[in-house]
Order: sequence, then structure tokens, then C-alpha cells
Amino acid sequence: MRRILALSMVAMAVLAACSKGGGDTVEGEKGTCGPTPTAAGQVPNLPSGFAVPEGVTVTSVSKAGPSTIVEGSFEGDLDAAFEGFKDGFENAGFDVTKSEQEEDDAEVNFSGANTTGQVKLSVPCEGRVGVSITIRPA
Amino acid sequence: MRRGRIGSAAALALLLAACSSGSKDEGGAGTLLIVVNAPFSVSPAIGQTILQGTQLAVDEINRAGGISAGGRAYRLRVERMDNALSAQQGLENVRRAVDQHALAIVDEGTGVDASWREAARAHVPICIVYQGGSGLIDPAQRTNVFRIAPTDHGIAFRYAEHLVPQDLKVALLHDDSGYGQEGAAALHQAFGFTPKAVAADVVLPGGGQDLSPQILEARRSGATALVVWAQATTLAQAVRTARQSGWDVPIYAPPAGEDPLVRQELSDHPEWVDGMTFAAGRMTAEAGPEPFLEFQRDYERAFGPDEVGVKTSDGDDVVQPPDYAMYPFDFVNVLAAAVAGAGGPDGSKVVSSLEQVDVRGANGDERSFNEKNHEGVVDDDVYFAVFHDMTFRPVEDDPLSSTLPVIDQTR
Repeated sequence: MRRILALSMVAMAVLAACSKGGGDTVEGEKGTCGPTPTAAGQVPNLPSGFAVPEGVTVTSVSKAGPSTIVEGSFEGDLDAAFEGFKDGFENAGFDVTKSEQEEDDAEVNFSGANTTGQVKLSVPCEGRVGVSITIRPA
Repeated sequence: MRRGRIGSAAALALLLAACSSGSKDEGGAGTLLIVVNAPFSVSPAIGQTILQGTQLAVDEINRAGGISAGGRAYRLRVERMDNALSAQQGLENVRRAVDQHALAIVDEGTGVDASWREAARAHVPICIVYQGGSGLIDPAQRTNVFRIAPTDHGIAFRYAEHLVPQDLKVALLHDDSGYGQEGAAALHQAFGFTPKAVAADVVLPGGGQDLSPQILEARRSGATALVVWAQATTLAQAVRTARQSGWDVPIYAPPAGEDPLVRQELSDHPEWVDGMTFAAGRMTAEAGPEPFLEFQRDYERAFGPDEVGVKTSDGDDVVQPPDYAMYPFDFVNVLAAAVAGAGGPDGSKVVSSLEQVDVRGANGDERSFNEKNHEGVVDDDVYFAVFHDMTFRPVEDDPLSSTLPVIDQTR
């Protein structure tokens, strides 16, 4: 049975396009975000068993050799994103092999559905979390 | 005198009891043994950096009063054993370590496929700090084996992710050592999803044999890049053979590319080293370079810089950053936390406790294991560095590597 990755995060808004690196910033502070990210027009099928969590705006999906790279963002804070991804993986039967959260970034490493990889979270601007997912076939 | 005889008898009884029960607390004196099993004679740079990383952590812990566990304080001591890159010797060393009631073994990795059982029977944890072969780690079966080092899986996939999009035709070359064969397996898996990117798959004979036929085979395949997964001397020979023939093909290497032996072997033609890229675990973390630089200062203060044995074109001595010293250093600290968490050096409790604790590593990253994962370095922490003038810097055409600082390598 196809396993769907589900998140417990609620009410993530889709934002307008935001250029990489965020909007106006003052050194040492996170500035306000620019326009909301534009969702990718057509998201190719991801590897079997892996679905993008609700509330995440996927802005690009690309291949890098054997691996799939998913870029996106969502409204919210890093804590919610970090816990949401961990909960989502565990609820979907994936193993969280390692996770770590710092002040402005976090990683969730996973294994499941014949894949391994990492979710890398960053805070490009206040109130937005950048999401980069690398999915490797096992 | 009578009191002295009773005291001596009591001490002797305590010692005998400790020995017969297999106690890791040497003679009840509160000293625990860590054995370093590494190729000191065949790959001295690797052996020495592993030993010194272990010793640095041990010395720091002892200076701080030792490990506090179960109401006692335990000091640590280190003993080195040379595996000479021989699986049989590695196994014999582990047997000796077990016989000496070692608390843990810091292992370069050669022979662990055979030696882990010997250690497991005695509840002795092994931490691999160099070899990255996939089969070495199996948390379900080999509950006592851990690793803090980049994995072959991570390196191979990161190479495939880096090279395939560049539309390169890659020839995969590997030597016939265990290191080369494990690396080849990982490369075959990673590049197996994009077979059109692979121009050739070539085995390099070790032992100093002429590699001209193999390099020619790769060249005739139309390869526009070589990934050479081989031990340092064979890797150097592959580079020499290609460059001597006038072939300026980009060459990509596993962590063996960073081994000072490669630069020493090619020191008569330093320009042949230029442009060679290797993969390794990132030295600095997201927190910035300062934690690793502090670790480097402590390391060099204790042991002096690890000299590569070559110079730059300006005549500066080249030194090796202690990246592979970081892994045994971190393991000893995880181990100390595990002993504390276990309430003492009871082997089975320590092995279990290793899956529960976490520590801040030398570069600021968290180091930990869990029941499902005994790997301390994630695949996404593999970066690429390129040589120029006998020193290396992170490449600029990889998203992770381009964010990393250059670590000074001259003195």
C-alpha cells in the first residue's frame, strides 16, 4: 500500500514567491519576506511512497543523478516545521534516522519506502521556512 | 607488618576477582582501556590522526577528573594496535583488546566484518572512524558496531548527484583492496540509476603494478571524468599514469584523495595534483568554523601540526587539518557520556547507552546514535574539495561545498 507522508501541521498558508535569501535584511536580523513563492506549475511524480506535506509550497522539483531534489517553503516558524516533518515521517512509517535543530536551521534525516534522504530547513526571512528535500533511492 | 600482609592479600584478591570477572576496570584502579586499531605501519597518517584524536579526548576527560559514573570516577588510557590494513591482523588485535577487557575499540575499519563478533561476545563496542563500507554497520545484527565517518553510500551518491548533471561520461575505477571493493559497490549502486553516465568500469590492480592498460581502457571508453576509488598509493599511481600519458581528465577520489601519501607520491609533479577533487565529511558545521578551528588549535597544541611532507610553490610547509581526528575525538566523548549514563563500564549497558546519549562534537555538530541508526555522519554532510598548489579548498560548483570556509593548510 502506498504510504503517504502526512503532517500534523495545520493551516499553512501558500505565500507569494520569495526570492532566495529573503527580503530586506539588517545584518544579524531576519527581514520581512518578499512576495510569496510561486508554486511549481506541474509537480512530477515523486518517488513512490513520498508525498509533499500539506502546507508546503513546492517551487521546484529536479533530478540530480539518481536523486530527487524538492525545493519549497511554508509559512510558519522553524519549530513547527521541524516537529511537523518529524511527526509526519513517523506517522507514515518512515524512520527518522537523525534530526538536529539549531537557531536558524534544522535537518531531519529519514529512511523509508526504499528511500533515504534529508529535509533541510532554513529561515531566509521572518515567518517563512525554506525547505529543501533530497530523496535518494535505496 | 601484619596489616601490610592483610592489605596486600586484600589487594591481590581484588585484582584476581577483577581479572576473573572480566572487569573493564583495570584491577579496580578506576582506569578503563580504549584500544585504537589502525594501520600505523601501512597508512601512518591515517593511523596517527586516529590515535591522536582519541588521545586528545582521553586527555581532556582525564584532566577534568575522568568519567563520573555510579558514584565513582574512571580515568581512561589508550593503547594502539597496528592492523597493517590486514583483516586477519585487525581480528587478532580485537581479540587482544577483548582479552585486555577493553572498554571500547576505535577502529579504522579493516577486518570488522570478522572482528565484530569477538567484540560483541564481550560486549565491547567498536566505533569505525575511517572505512565507509555499507555492510559494516547493521544496528539490528551488529548491535555493538558504530561509525563516525562519512559512508561510502553517502560519498557515492553525492558524486552521482554532482557529476551526472554535468553530462560527464564517468569511468569508475577501483582497486582490488577491501576499501576499493566496498567503494565500487557503493558507486555501482549510486550510478546504477543513470547507466548512460558510466563510460567504463575498471579494476585497478594494487601492489604497485603498472596501470597503463587500465587507464588506457578508461580513455578509450570516451570517459570525460574518472572516479578512482583506491587506496592512496594506487590512487597516486592512477593520477601519474593518466597525466604522464598527456590525459588531463578530471579525477575524483574518495577520502583517500586527502591522504598526505598521495601528495607525497606526486611531489615530483605537483601540477598533477592540481584539479584533483576528493570527497570527505565537512570539517565545519552550520554553527560556523570557530568550533573546528578551536579543535584544530587544541590538537596542534597537543601534538603539533600534521605535516603533509610537501611544500607549496611559495615554499610554505603544507599541513593536514585534523578532520579525521575529529571522529575518534567525538566517539570518545560519546562513549564517556554512555558510561556515565550506564552508571559504569558494564559492557552491555554501555552498548545500549551509546544509543541514548548525545554530545556536542568537535565542530559543533551534535553526535549521537539511536536504535535505528549507528551512523554518526549523514550523507548530506559529504562535501567536495579540490587541490591547487598542494592545498585544497571546497569546490564552488556544489551547493554545500560552496558554503564552506577554506581551512588554512600552510605553516
